[in-house]
Amino acid sequence: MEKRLATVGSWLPPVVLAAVFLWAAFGKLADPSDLLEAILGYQLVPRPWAYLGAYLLPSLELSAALALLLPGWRRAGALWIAALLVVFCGALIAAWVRGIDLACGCFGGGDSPTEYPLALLRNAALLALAAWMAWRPRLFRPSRSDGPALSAG
Amino acid sequence: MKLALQLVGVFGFAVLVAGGNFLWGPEPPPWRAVLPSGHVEIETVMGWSEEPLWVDAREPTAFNRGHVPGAVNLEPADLDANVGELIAQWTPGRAIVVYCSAECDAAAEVAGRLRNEFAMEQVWVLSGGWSAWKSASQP
Repeated sequence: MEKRLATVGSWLPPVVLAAVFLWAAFGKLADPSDLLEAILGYQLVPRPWAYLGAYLLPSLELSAALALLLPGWRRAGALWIAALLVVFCGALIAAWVRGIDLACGCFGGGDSPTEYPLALLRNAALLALAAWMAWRPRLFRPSRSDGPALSAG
Repeated sequence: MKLALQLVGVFGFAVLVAGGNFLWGPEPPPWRAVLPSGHVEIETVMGWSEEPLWVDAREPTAFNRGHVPGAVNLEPADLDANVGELIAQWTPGRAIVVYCSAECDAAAEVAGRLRNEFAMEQVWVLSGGWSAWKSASQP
């Protein structure tokens, strides 16, 4: 029972994090125009860079989420997701301090204004999870016969 | 070394996905910004010789946090009840500029109703909304 729990504990966090980012990526890839407008709403980059971001950011989310699902690639996926979350948090803080009302575009389209504290809290939690996976990737590998997965360092 | 190659691999796959989505995915957005009909940019408004009447179509809580000086708060739900305040200041021929937040439909809705239900001409929606005005008015 303990071993089974440890096994579930090793694969569940990467799967949850990957699912969140796959959901976010597909929502954005389905409507690049919406994401472009959302990025422009932050007033941080000119339109050509926002255009590039509207295609590259969701693709990176998708690619990193898929890497998270492959045990051998998990650390690379976690590092990319952590890097993306640092960028997202920075953009949210920059918009918040300038008093910009915007729809964050975090999961694709949507008109409702972003609640900055909630969005930052969510991103911080995801960042902590990604950083943990990048720092201790062996914790999240399938368990071996020589001991429970969570005992590995 | 292995990790570095994997990081590059993840990025490379992302570039492929992005390229595929651009070529075969949903219709790409226009490369250059196209203003919808009835919209105006803040730089254009600032060049007008006469100050327009400003209408803030956001909710009162957002309006109270900050608004264009002299703006009338007319959110779509309360337009009929509060439009008198705007009519009292308006003279035929004077431009009206309606704004809401950067990503919203309220300004377009209010502008449409002012044109159609109150026969007001020269009603414009501010592109970029409150954020655009705020950025332009900062030193």
